Amino acid sequence: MQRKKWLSHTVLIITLFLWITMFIMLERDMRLLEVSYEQDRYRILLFFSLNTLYYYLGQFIVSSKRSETTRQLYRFLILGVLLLFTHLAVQNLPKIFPELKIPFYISFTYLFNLGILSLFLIYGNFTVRAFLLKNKNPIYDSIWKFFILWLFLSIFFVFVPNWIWIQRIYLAIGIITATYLASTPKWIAYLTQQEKRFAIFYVLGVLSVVILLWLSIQLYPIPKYLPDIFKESQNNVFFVLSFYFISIYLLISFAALSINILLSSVAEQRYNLWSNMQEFSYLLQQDFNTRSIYEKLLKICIETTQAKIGWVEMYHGTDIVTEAMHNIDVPTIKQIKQLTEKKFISLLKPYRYIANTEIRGFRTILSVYITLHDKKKIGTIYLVSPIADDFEEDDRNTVVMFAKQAGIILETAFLLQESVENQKYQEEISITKKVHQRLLPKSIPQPYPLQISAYQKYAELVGGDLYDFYYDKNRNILNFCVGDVSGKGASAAFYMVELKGIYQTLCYPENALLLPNKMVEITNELLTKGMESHVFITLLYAQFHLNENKLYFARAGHTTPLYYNANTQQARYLHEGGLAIGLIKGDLFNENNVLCNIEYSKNDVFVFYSDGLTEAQNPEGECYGLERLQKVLTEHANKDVYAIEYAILQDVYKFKENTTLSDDFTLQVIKIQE
Amino acid sequence: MNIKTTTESSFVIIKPIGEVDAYSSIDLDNAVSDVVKNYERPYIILDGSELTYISSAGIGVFITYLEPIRKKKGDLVFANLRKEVQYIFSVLGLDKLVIITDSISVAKEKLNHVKESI
Repeated sequence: MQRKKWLSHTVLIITLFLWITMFIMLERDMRLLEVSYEQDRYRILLFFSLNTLYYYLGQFIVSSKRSETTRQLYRFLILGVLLLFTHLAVQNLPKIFPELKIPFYISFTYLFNLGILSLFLIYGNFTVRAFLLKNKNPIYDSIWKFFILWLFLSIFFVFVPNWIWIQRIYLAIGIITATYLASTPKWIAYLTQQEKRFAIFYVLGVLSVVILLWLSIQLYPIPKYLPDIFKESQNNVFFVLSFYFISIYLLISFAALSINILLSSVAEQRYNLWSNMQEFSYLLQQDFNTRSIYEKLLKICIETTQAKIGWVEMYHGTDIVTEAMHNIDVPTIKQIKQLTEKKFISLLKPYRYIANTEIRGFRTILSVYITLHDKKKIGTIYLVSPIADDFEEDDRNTVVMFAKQAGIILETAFLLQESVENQKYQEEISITKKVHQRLLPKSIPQPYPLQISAYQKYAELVGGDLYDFYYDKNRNILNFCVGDVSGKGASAAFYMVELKGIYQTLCYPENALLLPNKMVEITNELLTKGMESHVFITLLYAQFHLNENKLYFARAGHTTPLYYNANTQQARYLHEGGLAIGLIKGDLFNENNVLCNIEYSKNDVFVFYSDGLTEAQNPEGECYGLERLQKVLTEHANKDVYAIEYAILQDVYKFKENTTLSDDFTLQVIKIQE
Repeated sequence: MNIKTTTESSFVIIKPIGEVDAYSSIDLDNAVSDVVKNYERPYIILDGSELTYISSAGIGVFITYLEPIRKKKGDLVFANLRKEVQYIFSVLGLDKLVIITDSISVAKEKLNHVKESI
């Protein structure tokens, strides 16, 4: 490409040099009045210069970018205007400087103008070539090649000025070919609406330049002193043919452009729409950042409708958030919306529209909802034009289509975000589950005569159920604790860890023996300080004093334990107890905190459970409840702990049927063996 | 779940209808916090006649606002609680912290006592 440019520049300089040489020779001939016109040097020079100029200039143009047809037209126009001015300047110079009114200058002007015209026409031919290429038809291309060769060969008529009839036939064939080539200016279809407006201006400009140049040369008197060979050069087949071709091509293009702009054909709009859509969906394909989707939606809508102002709003619950803006700020948006609120007309169309708001600079407003597939409105795109009655029906429908597409993409984006968050949440749960499992005892002590079973069932969301056993060998005391932290997930797990730490310290055998009520008080004192206000912990501390056959316990808001008395063969709930941990601190808590004790005997059974068990629901929404638990225990109390546990679980699962557990639960059964 | 908030003279009656679970507890929180914020002395009666279930998160709401309410010299009284809900409250020991009554009129009386005692 670079090399070619350099080459064509060199060729151009050489050609100019040849032309200048020709003029110098002409001047000398005329001065000497040595009219040896038979000499071929002029012919050879003219032939060379035209020929080389023609080919290399042409090559240079064709090798430049093909798609930018309007730019080429623009360059063509600029060149034409420059040449026209040069032409006029050269021609009118003698009027300012009378001394120039000499035969040589007159001849020179004539030839110079001829040169300018030929330069312009050749340039024009190759510009048109680029347009013709848009037809993308091999036959068309062959015809073009034929025409250009035909044109080139016509240069040689310089040498046989007397073959009039042959020239005429030659010209006729050329004109037919040129007309055919000019008949379908397909390049117009590739232009955008805006480019067309420019193109029509350029085409008109170039056309006038061509005609002006042509007329000017035709009207210029042929100098008397000019060698015969140059006379009537303007009527040479080459000039006539190229002039005809360019003029007819531009004329037809102009007509086509005018009609095209006026009608703005549906097919073209569909094409634009389709390509924009294509681009839009491609842009969105790998993008699930909602913010950038809003921006892209706005950009494409503004480009398509040529709106001057626009913004995208999204609804977040009851809030409306402006997510993307173009040429406007939030306070202006508020103002505009307030002023226009009641002016929107929707007329059963998928958009809302105000044809004239009577607000300067914001005359037309188009508003389209962004909806999900279930028609739920999630946002709105607004487009504003400073001209009243802007946005044609097609434009409005296009925006509706874009908004729909954006809705689909946004829905995907939302789902994706949700699933990412869900994944985070799942991870949190799995961490919490691990913590939970680590907190629960790995093995359960079985100090005689106690037989102990413990069961935990995880629901989907991990709650804060905790239990722990600690057997104090020296004192022959079994410490037992059950608790439930309100809330779920990681925060509940933290409190469980804290609770477990406190509990283990409290029943550490090296410390003085603390009774459960004291342990509850200390726990409340320690935990309430740092707890969030909405969190509370229910707790039950129990101590089996095995030497005394006595159970001491303190209940802080936890579920009431179930006690089966083997002698009476009855089960009852032990209701005594105080406030849950975290509700209140100090005296009021301590006053209500009570130490209970039960003197147990052989075959008695204690059942501890968390509320997840009694609140397990059946499909009708009924809770499992206390009575059922009481009944099933009474029926199975004569069995060992594992059988009792199994019976209870069987009963609960039979009751809840296929309902999922909303809360996890724990169940501990302790029996006094014989 | 639905929440009806009505005012009767100087009392605000909050009536949750349905189940208060972990999700709907947010609505309950908003309802209670609005009253606490907007009243110089919030005298709140929670009408539990149509409250079928309350989760720990729902109870957490009352615990959260009990202190701010009492700091403003107001109070919170539960009325018409269903058996199941009342059982949950008493197991937690909430009945030792908050007055639980059988009817709105008794609740009003109790609140008037609170008013007079200031």
